[in-house]
Amino acid sequence: MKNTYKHIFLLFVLSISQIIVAQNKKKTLNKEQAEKESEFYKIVNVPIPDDIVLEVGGLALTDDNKLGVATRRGEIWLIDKPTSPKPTYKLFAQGMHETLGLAYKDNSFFASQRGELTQYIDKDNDGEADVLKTIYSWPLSGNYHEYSYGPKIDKDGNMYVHMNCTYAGKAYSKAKWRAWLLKITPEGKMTPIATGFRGPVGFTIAPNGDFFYSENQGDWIGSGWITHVEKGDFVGNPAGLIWTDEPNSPLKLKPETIKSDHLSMYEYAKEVKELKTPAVWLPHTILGISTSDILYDTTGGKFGPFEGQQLVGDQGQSKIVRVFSEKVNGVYQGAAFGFVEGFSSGILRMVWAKDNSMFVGMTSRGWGATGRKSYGLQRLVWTGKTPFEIKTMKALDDGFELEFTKPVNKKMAKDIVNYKMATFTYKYHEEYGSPIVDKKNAMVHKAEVSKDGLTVKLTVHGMRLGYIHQLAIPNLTSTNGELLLHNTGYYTLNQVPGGELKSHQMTMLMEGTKKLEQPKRITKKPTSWKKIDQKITLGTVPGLKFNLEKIEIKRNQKIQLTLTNNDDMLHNVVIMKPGVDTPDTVGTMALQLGLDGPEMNYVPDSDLVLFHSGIVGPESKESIYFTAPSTPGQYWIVCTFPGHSFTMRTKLIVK
Amino acid sequence: MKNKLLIYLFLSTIFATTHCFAQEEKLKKEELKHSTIELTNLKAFKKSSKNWMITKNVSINRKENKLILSKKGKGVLTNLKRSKKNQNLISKQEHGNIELEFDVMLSKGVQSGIYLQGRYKVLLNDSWSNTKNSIQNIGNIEQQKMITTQNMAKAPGLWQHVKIVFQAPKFDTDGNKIRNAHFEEIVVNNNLVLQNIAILKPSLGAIFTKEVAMGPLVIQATNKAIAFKNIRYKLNTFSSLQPENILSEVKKSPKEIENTASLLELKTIRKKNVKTISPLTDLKKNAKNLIVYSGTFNIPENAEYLFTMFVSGGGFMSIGNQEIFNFNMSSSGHENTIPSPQKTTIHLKQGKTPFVIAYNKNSTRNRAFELYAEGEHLQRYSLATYKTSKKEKEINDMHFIVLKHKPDRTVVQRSFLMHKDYKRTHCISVGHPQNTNYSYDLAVGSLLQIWNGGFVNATHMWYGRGAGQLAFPEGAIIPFHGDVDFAFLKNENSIWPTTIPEGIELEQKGYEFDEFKNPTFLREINGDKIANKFTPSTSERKLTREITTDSKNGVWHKITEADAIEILPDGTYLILNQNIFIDFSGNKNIQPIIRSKGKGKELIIKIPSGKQKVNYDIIW
Repeated sequence: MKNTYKHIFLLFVLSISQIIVAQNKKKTLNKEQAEKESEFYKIVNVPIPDDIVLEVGGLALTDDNKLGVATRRGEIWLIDKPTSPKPTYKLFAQGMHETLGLAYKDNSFFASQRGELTQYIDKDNDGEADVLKTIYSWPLSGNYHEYSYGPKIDKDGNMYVHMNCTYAGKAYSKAKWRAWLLKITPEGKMTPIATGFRGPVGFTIAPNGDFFYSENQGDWIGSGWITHVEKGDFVGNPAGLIWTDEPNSPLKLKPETIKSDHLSMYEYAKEVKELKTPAVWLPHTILGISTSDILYDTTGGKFGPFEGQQLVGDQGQSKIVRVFSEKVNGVYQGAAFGFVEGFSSGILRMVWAKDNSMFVGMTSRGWGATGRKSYGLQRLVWTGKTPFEIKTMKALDDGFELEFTKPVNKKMAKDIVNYKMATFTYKYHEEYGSPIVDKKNAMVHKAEVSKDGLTVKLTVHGMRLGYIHQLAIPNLTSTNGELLLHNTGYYTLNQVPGGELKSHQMTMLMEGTKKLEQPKRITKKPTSWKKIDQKITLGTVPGLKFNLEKIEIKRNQKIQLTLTNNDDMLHNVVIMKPGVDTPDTVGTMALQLGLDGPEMNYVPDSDLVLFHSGIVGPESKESIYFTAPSTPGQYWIVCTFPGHSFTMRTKLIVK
Repeated sequence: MKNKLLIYLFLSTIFATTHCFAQEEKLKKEELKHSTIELTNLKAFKKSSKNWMITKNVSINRKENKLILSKKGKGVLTNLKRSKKNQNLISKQEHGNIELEFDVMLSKGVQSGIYLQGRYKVLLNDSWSNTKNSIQNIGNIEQQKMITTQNMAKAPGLWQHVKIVFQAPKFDTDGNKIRNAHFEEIVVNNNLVLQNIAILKPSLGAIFTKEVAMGPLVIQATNKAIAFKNIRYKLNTFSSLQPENILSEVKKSPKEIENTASLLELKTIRKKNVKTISPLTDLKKNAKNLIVYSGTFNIPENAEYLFTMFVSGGGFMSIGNQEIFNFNMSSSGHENTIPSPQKTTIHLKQGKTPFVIAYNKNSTRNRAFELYAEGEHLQRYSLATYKTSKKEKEINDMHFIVLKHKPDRTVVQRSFLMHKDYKRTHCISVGHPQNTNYSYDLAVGSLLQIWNGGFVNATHMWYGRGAGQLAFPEGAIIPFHGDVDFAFLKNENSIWPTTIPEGIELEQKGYEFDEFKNPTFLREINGDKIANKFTPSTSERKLTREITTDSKNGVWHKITEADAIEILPDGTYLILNQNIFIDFSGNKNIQPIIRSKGKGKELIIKIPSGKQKVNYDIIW
């Protein structure tokens, strides 16, 4: 009898492990949100054998329904029965130098390596590549940051590869065509298409043939974005402009022309005709921190109600956001919303499975992510239930038209009090990232609901061309009482229909220009201090960690703490009260600062926070001064930049 | 007249002295003086059998597998003369602790050895054909435990380099042994094969059975040929600089350090008298302070001393009033590159001398501090004691993601590679199951290096962000020239291009695998097709380079370049300084050309037009 129970228990555990929702609830940043989302979109693990380090760089489905996976370790694996509980793995090719993309066409694979675009051909059909044909090779300077992504293949068979910039304190282009988008024919003829790229991890060819790419925050890049790319475009970071002298360059813009004048990109684009501004901005830390793949929902309705929209992955926050876009006066723009979070590692690639679930390939080695595993492969499966969401958000010349996935509660939808709107933008400058600038409130003046309850037409006062429009409807419910699964969207307004903005401008209800006060941040040695008892330097190491596990100070001592940021991302230091959960609690509060985050240095107003620094950029440092608490104990020093608080923490032992 | 002569003499003396001085200066920075066993005659050895003799050079007849005299003269010790009885060769000089280096050439199948103190044998066997790690490999010790070594042998007929660091047994005043004889390290052809092996008793065949403090070097008698040259050694009479009165002081970190005085003037936070120099233990991981050790050395004798410092962060050292290390000491310093050892030599007088050693961990990278001292009669040893956690050590060594061979197929790995101090970005390393490996530059089209041993260390590619993206061979490499392997020359006297010439269209075509996953590299130069494949052999360590061309007007190929190239009696090319054989005998219609390149030589061939096949063996 005992044995039977044992067997049953084992079977139970095994079967659970095959189909269990893979969200590790303890580690998800926003547990409640992830749980809500899982009712509609479930995350399922794809089992990976223990001895395979599947750091996903590329995903492609073959004609016979195998999943090809290219990895950062230069391998291509073929997974047979990838949607089943027992997939089998076979090594198709190995030995390449960092394959960060994968495409399948005409019975062979194509994957970009660091230094070339390669075709992988299995001549004798034994399941292993025998011919690795160099389609096109490009120079490298030897810098670690020169990642090469792709290819994506258009309908004519042309292949597109994206060249990450060189990074040495800031973005450079130290080998020809770094920071460019290249088009390569199957015969190996190369045409440079556009430049201005910094971290173009995601690139997609829309069903209509248009190109879109995703960008990562950095120097000149205020926040991540999705931009529509055309030949001859300059999309933002000037590093690649040093090659416009090449005879085949489609633009002649010189790097010296670009000045760091603190204008917004939208304004600057009026002066520099080659500058292409984003179609859709993804506000930093709210809708991602390191944007990756873009995947169109081409399932024809089999993945829920967002057919035709873009799903965009994020490496740092281990989540997917949703982008609705439209073309107004020939220019792409649209709105971004949250979608699903809680993936096991940093998302890099997404492709459709034959059964209309989505494969999500992940790796976080070197950078850390909210999903704490080093690598992973999961599937996102629609449960068949439709969530209550803002399906589309379209621009009008005096407002927005919203479509919902389910009929809204008409009374609530008509009440303008339920709508909160604000407009803001980012600086376009050579510094790393940008805070939110020029934020002003906007006002929904009127809300008209359609008869079927699925559409709401908002008349808005205070719309501004070139600005990002935040719309929040936190209390709105559907007719059956459901709250919106994601109640905030961000619309990038490049154009309005008709060409002329007719929205009334706001003269009152302006956002006060009160200066933010943060008394817990002291960056100058207090004049009352005769001496400093202890000077501490805290540095960063790659993988989102501080370089010290613990620091000891004596109570009531006068302390100078210097944060030296040697990383290529933003960080801060926040000294917190003791408590096992304190770092997580404050970390969550920091994330929820939303748009106010950057201005507040991602430090929430909380009693748990004792002292803190500002945001410190790469290769910079900041010193703060404080008196150590009088009560001994184990306090915390944590970086509260969204997503960092899990691993970037040092114990502050007060003796 | 007289004046002119005097002036001439004066000037020539100056010239001669400065020239010598310059040579010595160069030596000063790299290493310490060694003693040599002059091989101008047999006076360094006791009288022995008649087969031992001195000559200028020895080489091999590979067809008959015999070593033969190739040049009369001095410099090489060998046993080629016929003799009725072969006896051991015993040195007159006796030694205790010794660091010994020499080049040895073995004939096929020879089994010989060298006995340290006439008692402890290091094998000098021709183990070239051994396919497994075995106890019979060259460089292993004849001992009681079954310790195998990696087979780092080179082919018979090639000079092999052996380095042995040996410590004699220690005895107390009553003559009781208190420490066993010890092999600190044995290096064969630049590969470390053994480390830290204690020997309990003399080896089989030792000419003395009693263990003592001093004994002679003994070369074992053998009826097969063996040859030695460049025998040099250091008698390590001393084992320590005996630091005493060591004061450790944690000080506030400075902006810049100019000299010892300014270092000592910094404000001291806390001080302590210590017995050892252990900055990694004494200084907390707190990066804001630095630690200074001051004390006295007991310099054992007037001599040259070599100090080596390896630091992640800032390092400082002075002895007496001479500053010998001072780098990265300012508090803002941080490096992005892998820290490399700093070396310097200094002459010190016997007696007590003050020293100052400082470590400033101002880098946010891993902490590392290593400091070694060596003297003309002082064995290299670590001045600093340090304990790092296993994880820290792994990371400092950067050697835990290591790619291995597969038993039944070739493995490849593309990466960046260092070649002669330059980083090359489009490289591939190939490892055969026979432990023969090579790297090839796909962009330039050039064989970069070959090696025997494991495949590659990929830690610098796949740990963290992999900042280097470099793979490192798991064995001592034999580098090749690294220029383009194929070129169009106007004639056989045209200079070989070192970069890709103008007007030449180079196209990489990739590679194709055979059934064993051995790649053939394909490229086109101005439309001419060139294919390269490197095939191993199961019978001996070699790579056969198979070149296939299809050219309009023929194409030139540079096989290798060297300090000197000799043609052996059977037609094999002996490439000196690379120390390899090139066997070109399989190609009847092509005659390789040896031509000068600066002070050295190049070995080139012209491949005719049309479809051609050229194969040659690289043997080492």
